[in-house]
Amino acid sequence: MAKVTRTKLARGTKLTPDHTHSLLTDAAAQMNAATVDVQQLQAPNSSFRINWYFPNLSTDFPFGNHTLGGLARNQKFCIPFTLPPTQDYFDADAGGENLVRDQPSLVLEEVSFSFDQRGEGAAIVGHHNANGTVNVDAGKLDFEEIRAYDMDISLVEKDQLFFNSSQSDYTPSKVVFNAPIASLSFAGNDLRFNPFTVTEINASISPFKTYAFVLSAPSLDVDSTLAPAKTRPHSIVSAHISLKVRSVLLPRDVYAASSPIQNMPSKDTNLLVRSPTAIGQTVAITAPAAGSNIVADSTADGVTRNIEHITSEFRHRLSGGVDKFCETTARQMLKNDAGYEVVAIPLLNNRAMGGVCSAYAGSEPWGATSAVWDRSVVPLNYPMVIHSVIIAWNWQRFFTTATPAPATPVALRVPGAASGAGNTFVAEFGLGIGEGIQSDSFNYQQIASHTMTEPWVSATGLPAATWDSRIIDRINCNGPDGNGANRASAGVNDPQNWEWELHQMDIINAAAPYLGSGYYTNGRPFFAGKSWAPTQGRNNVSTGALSAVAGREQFLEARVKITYGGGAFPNNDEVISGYQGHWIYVIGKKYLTR
Amino acid sequence: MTDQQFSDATTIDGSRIDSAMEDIERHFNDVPQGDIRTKWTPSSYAMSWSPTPAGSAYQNHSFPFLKCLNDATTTVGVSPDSFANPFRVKGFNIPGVLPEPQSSSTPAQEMNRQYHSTVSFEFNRPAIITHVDVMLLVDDRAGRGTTSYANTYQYGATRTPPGFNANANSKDFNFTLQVDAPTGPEDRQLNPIEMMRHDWTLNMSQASNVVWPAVFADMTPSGFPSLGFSGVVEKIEGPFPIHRNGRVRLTMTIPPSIDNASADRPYDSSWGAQPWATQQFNVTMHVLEELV
Repeated sequence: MAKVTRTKLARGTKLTPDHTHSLLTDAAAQMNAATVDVQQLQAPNSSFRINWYFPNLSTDFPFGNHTLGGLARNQKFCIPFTLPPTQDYFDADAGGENLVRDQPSLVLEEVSFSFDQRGEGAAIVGHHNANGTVNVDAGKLDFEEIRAYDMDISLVEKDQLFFNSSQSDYTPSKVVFNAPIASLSFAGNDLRFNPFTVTEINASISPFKTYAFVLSAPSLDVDSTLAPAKTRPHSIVSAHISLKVRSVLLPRDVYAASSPIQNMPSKDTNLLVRSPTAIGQTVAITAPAAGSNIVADSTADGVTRNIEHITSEFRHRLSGGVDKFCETTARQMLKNDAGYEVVAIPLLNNRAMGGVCSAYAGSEPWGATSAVWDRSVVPLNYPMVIHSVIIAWNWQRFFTTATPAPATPVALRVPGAASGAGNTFVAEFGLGIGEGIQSDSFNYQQIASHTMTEPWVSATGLPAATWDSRIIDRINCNGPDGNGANRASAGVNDPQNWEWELHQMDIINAAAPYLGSGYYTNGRPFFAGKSWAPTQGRNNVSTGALSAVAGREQFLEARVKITYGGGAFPNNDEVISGYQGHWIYVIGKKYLTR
Repeated sequence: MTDQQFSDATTIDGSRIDSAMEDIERHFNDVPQGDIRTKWTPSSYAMSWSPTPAGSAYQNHSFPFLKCLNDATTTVGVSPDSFANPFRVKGFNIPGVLPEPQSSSTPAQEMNRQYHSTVSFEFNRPAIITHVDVMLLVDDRAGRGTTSYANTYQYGATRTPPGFNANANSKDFNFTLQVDAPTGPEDRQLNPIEMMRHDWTLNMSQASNVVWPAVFADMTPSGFPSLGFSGVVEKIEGPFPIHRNGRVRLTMTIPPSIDNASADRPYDSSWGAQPWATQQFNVTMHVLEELV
């Protein structure tokens, strides 16, 4: 729908209804049809954030000049992500992507990085000594070596392996953003730039590329080569990173029998837009009859009276979206009322050793079950429609920590490289909605899941097809060798030790019409939102039945389970879970609200 | 939408009519953000971790929790002449614990010092924090499955803070949302408090008063070892409006590390000597931000 235009009234022209009522009629028509478009909004973009929280980033990662166990020095810590289009704009296969003409653009607006300094201009002493023992001063303030926080943050970009399976270089090809941070920024008494926020970046983000936030902190560890020598290890505690990205408003998802939205509330004909026409409350403009006088306000067709009909709607303000109880707005005039959304959920972070090393896997929570488990629970306070779920699998190597010094000082190799039994290494991920918080009903409904087996085949040094069945990309920010689990293999030309992988987690999809769009087979979008009684009624999910929580979902839960042959984990240096764990990206559409 | 108003029996000319229509055309084609009732979109900040369980051979740090008092005893090397924020969070007092020295000759004892975990956010445009949900999850209350996290959120049988009976439900965990003062951003005494959960009985906010049943519709990977979850779920609903360039600090405060066998302990606690390790932490903040 185009913008409205008026017929200009030049001096000496005879006044006709075209000059007065046509504009008002056109405006009313757009309002009545709920087609006031984003081109007509001063603020046509919604914003979303990719938030990562790390309870600590310490010198058990090889940030600094630290050589124990043979890990490379001065390694950068990174976290990848990708922002695929929502399913209605997703058009890609391994041969390439097709960007449609109205593909919503994504623009990085802001990067923010913060951590805990205990309210002082000091550094926080870390827990990991260079020899692998635990530092007894961990957590204390250190006013002498604030230079530990000389850092550099950046955002890098690379092409995806999915579109080029012969890709052999997993290093980023482009720096989107970079900011060196001097530790003096964190040393002041009266003002410290913590959070450290860079605004107005305005860098374009491609929907089919991989990005990674990269943190370099080369002075975090002890370093006798510096002058003066740096004597203590330090830690970045409660690190929070937030990328704010803007995207033009999107049309909301519409349910149809041939293209269902799983678990969509059935109220209001499946949350159909309640336009003034649809609910019988139109804005009526009365134009003068042919041949009659144009009057100001004495009759229903008066100019001021009809202007008032439009003005009145603006006084009540235009509306759209779905509220926190999944109720569609009562009287909608906006055409596009949804925005792109990402919820980043951590798994297996803040372990005793930084990550999970095979030799110590039995000491992990619930480790007695011969499996490494974790879960994260995210309460649902606003609804969203989930279009894609992406796993970021972490292979970043790390030093292990214990007192006395641990027998296996480094988590180094990929599962299988030491044990010879990589084919028994299985990682299972799941995402569901659940009920049970302050409730007397307890259930889960699966949204997406993925299982990966055998991350290393000795003949190639590469993962088996059963590991890569949903691979999107591999990324290596410490090229060329990488700080990922070592996958050297005899007779093979130095496969890179990539640090991260991105995998698609399939949304549940039994058969048509529940097959959606994605890199691989994927289910139709899945609605998740807390309801009250009127919006508890839902449409089926792809099993052909109602969700197991029957519209009562309260939270999202992400789970991971890692097993290694069904018994105890091998006593070796294999990386079971990389430094500070994995991420699940729940990607979809959120709604305008108030 | 326009300042022009036309009334019968008053003068009128084409310029005024054209001006009115131009005003309406411009306004309708460039709708100000303020004319949109639903101009907000939500974002989720998901922060969670499962610490190494208490008693593990490899439980080796309290991160992200750090001691509550900034003084020479919690500093390495040379201490400054004075600390900018000896106490960096307001309102974390709990019964029976006095973190500061009671006199110059009596230093504060280690078991009187709580731990804070603070995470910071900055909002360059006005924002609204709508929800802060804090979940302290422990394993199945019925004792089924494998237990890694157990905390009953009770004081002990033999020694309790003043005013509490043996095994009373404890009031020893706080969380608060505070904003840096624009005129003194590093002086935490000046921080306005946007939200505080303080002096509350944790067990009044049980995840559920009903034990999870043995059979329920599970998700995959199924059979989470602790079966269901129990613990404390405290959902705080705002709104908490944040001004432009607001620097927000969300702090959780856990009780001191208490050796239940020590004669110096202020009280007996189910949080034990490693209070950062007796539950999973799930913290979620929901924020509304304006269209841009």
